[in-house]
This record gives sequence, structure tokens and C-alpha cells, in this order.
Amino acid sequence: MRSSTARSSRRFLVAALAGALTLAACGDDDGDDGDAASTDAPAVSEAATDATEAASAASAAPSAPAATTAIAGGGAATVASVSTDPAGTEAADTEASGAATTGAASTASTAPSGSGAASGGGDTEAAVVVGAVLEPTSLDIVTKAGAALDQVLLDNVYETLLQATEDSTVVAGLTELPEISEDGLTYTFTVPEGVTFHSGDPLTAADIVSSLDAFRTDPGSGVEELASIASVEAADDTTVVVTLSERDNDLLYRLTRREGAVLQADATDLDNSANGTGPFTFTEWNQGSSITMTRNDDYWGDPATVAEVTFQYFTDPNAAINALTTGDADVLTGVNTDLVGQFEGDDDYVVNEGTTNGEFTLGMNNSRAPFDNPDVRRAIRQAIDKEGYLELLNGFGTIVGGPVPPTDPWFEDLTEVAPYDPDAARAALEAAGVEEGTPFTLTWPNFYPTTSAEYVASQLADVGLEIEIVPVEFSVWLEQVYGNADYDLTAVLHVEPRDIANYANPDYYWRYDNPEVQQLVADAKGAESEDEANELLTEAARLISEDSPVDWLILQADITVSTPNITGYPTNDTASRFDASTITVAD
Amino acid sequence: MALFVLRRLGLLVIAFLVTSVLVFLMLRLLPGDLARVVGGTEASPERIETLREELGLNRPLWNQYTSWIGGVIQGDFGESMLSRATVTSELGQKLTVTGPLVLASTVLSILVAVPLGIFAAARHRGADGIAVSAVGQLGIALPTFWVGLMLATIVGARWGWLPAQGFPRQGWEETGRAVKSLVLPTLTLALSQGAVLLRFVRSATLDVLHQDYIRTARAKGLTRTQALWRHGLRNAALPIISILGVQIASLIAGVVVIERVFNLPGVGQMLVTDIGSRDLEKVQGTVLLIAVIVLVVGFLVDVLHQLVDPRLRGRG
Repeated sequence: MRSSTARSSRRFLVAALAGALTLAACGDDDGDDGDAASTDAPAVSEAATDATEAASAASAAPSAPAATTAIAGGGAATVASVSTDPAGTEAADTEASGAATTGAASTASTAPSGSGAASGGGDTEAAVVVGAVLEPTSLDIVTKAGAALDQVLLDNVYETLLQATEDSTVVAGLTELPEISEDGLTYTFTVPEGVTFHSGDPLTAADIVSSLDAFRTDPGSGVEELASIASVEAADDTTVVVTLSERDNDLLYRLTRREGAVLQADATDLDNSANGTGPFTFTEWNQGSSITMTRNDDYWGDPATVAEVTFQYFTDPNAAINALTTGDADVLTGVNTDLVGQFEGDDDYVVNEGTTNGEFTLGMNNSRAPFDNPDVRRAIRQAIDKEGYLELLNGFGTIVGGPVPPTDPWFEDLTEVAPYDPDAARAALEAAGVEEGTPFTLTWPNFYPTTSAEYVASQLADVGLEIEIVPVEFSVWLEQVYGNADYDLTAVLHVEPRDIANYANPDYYWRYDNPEVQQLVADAKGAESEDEANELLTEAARLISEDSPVDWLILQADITVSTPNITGYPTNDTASRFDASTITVAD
Repeated sequence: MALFVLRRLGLLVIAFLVTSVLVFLMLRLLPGDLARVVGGTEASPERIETLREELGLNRPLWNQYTSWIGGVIQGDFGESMLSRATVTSELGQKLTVTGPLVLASTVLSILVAVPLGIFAAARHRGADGIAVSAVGQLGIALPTFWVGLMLATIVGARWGWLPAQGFPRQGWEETGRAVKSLVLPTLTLALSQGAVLLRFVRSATLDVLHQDYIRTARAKGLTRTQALWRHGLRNAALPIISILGVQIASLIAGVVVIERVFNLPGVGQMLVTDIGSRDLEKVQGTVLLIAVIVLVVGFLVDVLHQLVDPRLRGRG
């Protein structure tokens, strides 16, 4: 449906040009990364006038999945390359391996799933080079935010106390599920036996205590998430008791996230090293390029199915594509929706469309007129045709009518709450006294494709609003928009899982303040049972959608492409992590 | 001569201090904040404050400057506020990629552009001369990243002749692959540099051709070519050398683009990333260190000029 071999060569060129334009746009907007890109930018638009239209249409994908919590980057393209030589020498000539046996390219959303795929066979000595667009800025998982960090280190090097399945059920992780007291205030964890850190030291209760304490106290990154914890104590060598100040239904899930990661108690140099208990040991960080890890042969669970994994980072999506086609890479995840076309229908590649937690969200400043009026906000939502946007993304993504992705237990289809209806939007704007031609700014983090911004602007122009697109660097966005709420409209990809609580925080950058929603979310946190909590949150989500504090443009798809000889890699990105331990390379 | 060297050294120190202040202040003028980058989208205002304190961002500016420059004077160019890696080690590491790239493309562009430029000037009325300068013009018009992208996707990915992207993880230990990785980036960069250089060589040579001493030489009985070789080129060389110096600046800009297109872990990529995350201490250290290198090279060239060109002596 989306693929056609006949078109592939033209798409190839279009893709290249699209990338070129994206790059030009980036440089243009940046203003401070050297004048190179910006001086070149106008030149290309002349050189490529003919192709501009096609190219810009093709470069429309919101391509920075992890960008809300991690700085920089274009798309979280994860790339894996394989060579049978663990040292990684001559990784360049795997071209032949692409043509190996299994031929079928699939576009199914349920392609090789990561969990439990560790079937026998496969080259256990293979060195898989896995890379991503978003490179961590530091390896310090305790204090430095960033989905890029979770992606490479969690499940691979560090392990979390608990794990979440893809449908969001919390299960045992490094430890079994804790015993929870009747009043829900005491969680008792049992320290597993036979687990050692990569340093060789055994895992003790003290390590778990110190890890939780590190995350929940300033400047740990889990201060907010673990706020309900009053104390963490080692009752004896094998028991850790977590005491809460109030009931918190969220806590178990939080412990499946980075806040649940277990580090050795006296770990030092967290910025440049990582000593965990996971199936891989951290080997080397070649900053600006790659992170390498080696199989941990003393791992307490099932050992990893490949000997070495390298995350290779690509800031330019075309470079990632080139790496895959030349065999320097064998799996790409988070592939740009405009670049994936060339692989579809090609037997040398497998294309998977998985789901993510990333709602590409059009933020509205609820504290600023006229966006303090729910009717105006709903009108904005009704003015933007999501189907059209999905088409712009070549059909990749899911339309959601609310803040909840289908993978969360409190999901409900809310697309009917504010369906596309430009006439109703025009009428509502008029009724609210918003005059035709009223100017607003759309503050746009510059790593998202400008075509998406232009789409939004043109849809809003259609109902009489004049939108000025203001591209900013993400660090500027964090200060102006996120920090100071100094904006009219903005857009950002929200990849944080279970982020409905943001809508219950009146200080969040949307400045959305509805006591009813806040009450529901708080009640859910303290509810007696999970079912009750889910019910409350479902209600909150509907209320939020009716209030339209923001618009949800699309739920981003997780697109992975690999050569057919590689299986067992994760194809859904619902928790910003990439478990590499089950990757299998066919002999 | 000694006086000249001393005076130039004094200027060098002043230039260094001015550069350091400029770099420091310009980065502080940028909106955006490292603490926010570290905190991400889930950080509360309180946590941002704690982070600012941790990172030393809430100290007064003069305090930040003096403690930084104090370190620099002792040879400590600072470290990344994010990864804690020192600027010197990081830059040294990245220069193993960027250094050879810049050097090779500069040499290549000189080797190609200088003879072609002289040729285009000598034959500026001939069809061949015009053709050469037209090609040079085209080279200027083509955007660097577009050329790079075309080379990468066609020569690298489509035909598979050379690596389309990347640099071996093992660095220069993997010599063959490292050299191959740099071929296409070098060609791309050399093309844009060479095209500009060709224009300058051509116009400098044309200028010289109209000088009186060339006419005198012709009157003496030399052919045009002989006059150009014996008397012209030496004089044309001076502006060309100056332009080479100026090109270093545009070279750094070019490197930023090339390294991105070819996914090379070099200085350009590093600077862009660090500026993006507002790792100010690392950026200012890196920029200052590059500035020092450029200043010192400039100083050495000046001294050499003095030694080579007797006319400059005594002018200081």
C-alpha cells in the first residue's frame, strides 16, 4: 500500500533531497552552530527548486521521538550492524548478508518482538553494532535526564527492580514483585541471590537502598516520581523495606523506569562509566560516535544472544540510511517516515511499524488569552485535520483524541470528542471574539520538520488565524516555553510514559488548571485498587480531552528496518529503551 | 627582528585575552540553560535551582570567567559540565578525525586550484580558460552538503566504492578503513575550498599580468608565460597566502556540515552537540583552544614572512 518498487529510485533521490533540506533548515534556524549551514541553505533551495515541493512533502515526519527528554537530534534512528568478528574490523562488507535466506519484507505491527525471542541457533559470537540518533550527553543515569540514556543503558547494563510488559503490566525485574502491606504504605523487596555487579561484587540490600535514595533526593532525576517514598531501609541483608508517606498506585510502575535502576552503592565516575547487573557490561564510549557493550558471561539470567553490541549514533538520517544500505548497519529503529519508503517491498530488508508512547503534542498556553477559553482551544483542535497530517507522514502513526496512548490501561478512544470540523471551528472562534487574522506565534523546536509546522499553520490559517512559526533550539525551548511559559502555541513530542499527571500540574508549561482533573489524578494515585485507579484515570482523560488544553497531532509510530538475518530486537518503543540482549543473528 | 617577535608576542597575548572574553560573553548571551537540559521535561523549578547550583551556573559572571581563565593560563582548558571529560582530551581525540580531513582537503585544493587558477588567468580569453573558471564558479555555487550528500548516496551507498558514512571505532588503528572513510569528505571539502581558491588565484594572477613589471619583462623579450613564471607568480603568491588564512574560518564552518553528512565523530559534530546542550564550559574551552592554535600559526607565519620577504622588515 505504501510501498512500490517502481518508485523506489525516485524516492531515493527525493529522500536525499529531503534530508538536505532538513539539514539546511536546521542550520538556518540554529543561528549559532557556525554559519556553514545557514550560508548554504539558500543555495540549495535554488539548486533544487524542481524537487523542492516533493522533497519538502517527504520530510514531514516528526522525527525526534526522544527529544522531549533528551536534547538535540533528528530521529531516534537506532541502527545495528553485524559482523562475525567481535572486534568489529571491516564491518563494511555485510552487503551480501543482506541477501541472506529469509526474504519476506513485512509491514506488520507485530513483527519480531524483543521479549522471549531468544530461541536457539544464531551466531552467538556475533558483534552487533547498534546506534541511535540521540546520543547521551553523559552516562550518569542518576542525575542527567534524557531518553537516549535510558535507551542504551536500561535493560542492557543497568537493570530495574521491576519490569513492565508491552501492555504496561508490571512484572518481576531484578527482584520479584514486592510484598505490599494492607494499607499500601509498606513495600518489602527481597534481594535476589546470585546476582553480581559487573565489578564482581554481589548485589546487596545496601545497593538497592543507596540507589533508591540517590534517585529520590536532589539532584536525582526521580525526585518527583518517587516523592511518595518516605524512607528506604535494609531490614536485613536480603530485605529492603520502602515506606511511603501516602498510598501511591504509580510507584510500582515508576520502579520499572530508570528510577528503579540499581547501581552499586559506592559507584564512582557515573558520567563516563556504568557498573550494573545487566546482560551486557559497558565497554567503551566513543563520544560523538558510539557506545559499545560486551556480553556479561556471569549474568544471572539468560545470557545475551550476541557477544557485543555497539550503539552507533547518527545525527543525519541519510547517513543512517546509507549505513544500512552499505551493511555498516543492519537494524534502524525510529526511521524517518519519509525515508522508509525505499525499503518497503524490498526483500533485502524487513520493515516493522511498532507503537510508541510519543504524542506529538500541540501545546497551547492556557494562561494566555484567547487560549484560556476552552472553546477556542477546542476550535484549534477542530481546525486541524489529523487524517491529512497522517497522510503527510506517509500513513505512519496513530490518531489519538486524548492524552493517553492505546498501550496504557486507561486508554479510551476519544477521537470523537473534537473531530475535524473547520466550519465549527470558525464559528467557535467568532463566538469567542477571536477576530479573523489575529496573529499568534508557534514556537517550534527546530529539530522537528518544518513541514509539520507549516501544516499546522496552514490548517489554522484556513480558519482565519495568522500563525508565525518561530523556530528555536531545544535548549531555548526548555527555557522559554517549558520554563517560563512564554509562548502562544508550541509543539513537542511527549515520550514520557504515563504522563497524564502532567495535565494535573497547573505549573506545567501548558498552565492547564482544572481542579477536577487534578482531583481525579490524585485519587487514582491513592486508590484502593488498580481497577479503581484505571477507572478514575479514564475519566480524567475524557475530561482533559473535552477541555482540550492541547491538541494531540499524532501518536508517533516506531519504525524499525533491518536485514532479514537479524531478529529479536524490540519493535515497539513504549518505554524509551532498547533491550539488545535478545537480538539474534542468523548463522 | 627580536623586537618584532616580541611585539608580535605581545599582540598574541592581547588577542588571546580578547578572544577569551568574547567567547565567554557570547556564549552567555545565548538563551537556553544547561540546568534545563540536564533536568529535561520532568524537572520541577526546585530541581532546576539545585542543578544550577551543582553546575556552578548561579555564580556571578566575573567569578565564572576568572576561575575559568585562571585554569586556562595554567594549561587547564576546562571540562565538560556534562560528561566531565577534559576539553584537551576531547579535542585531541576529535582532531584525529578533523585534523587529517582539513589538512588533506587543503592540500588537495591547493594542488588542484593553484595550477588551474593560473591557467585560467593566463588563458582568460581562451575557451579553455573560460571553461575552467566556469567550472570553478559552479563549484562555488554548489552547496557543500548537497555535494556531500550526493557523493555519499551515489558513490558510497549506491555504487559501494567507498564508505558512505562513519569512521572506524578503533580510529587510526584501523588505518585502511580510516583512510577510506575520509576520502569522500575530503573530496567534498576540497571542492568547495578549491573553487573559492581558484577564483582568487585567477584574479590575483590577472592583476599581476597587468602590472608594469610584466610589461617591462615582455618588452625585454620574454613571452607572456615566461614573464608570468619568472616575475608574476612570486607576486601573486602573497594575496593567495592571505586568502588561505582567511579560508580557515570557512573551513571550520564547512567541517560542521561535512561531518554531519558523513557522520564523522569530529570537532564540528562535537561543537554543534555541545552548543545544543549548552555545555558552555566545554564549548568555550574548545573554541579558545582552536583560537589559540590559529593565533599561534598566524604568529609563526608572520615571523616566516619577515624572514622571507625583505620588504616587510623594519615595518614591524
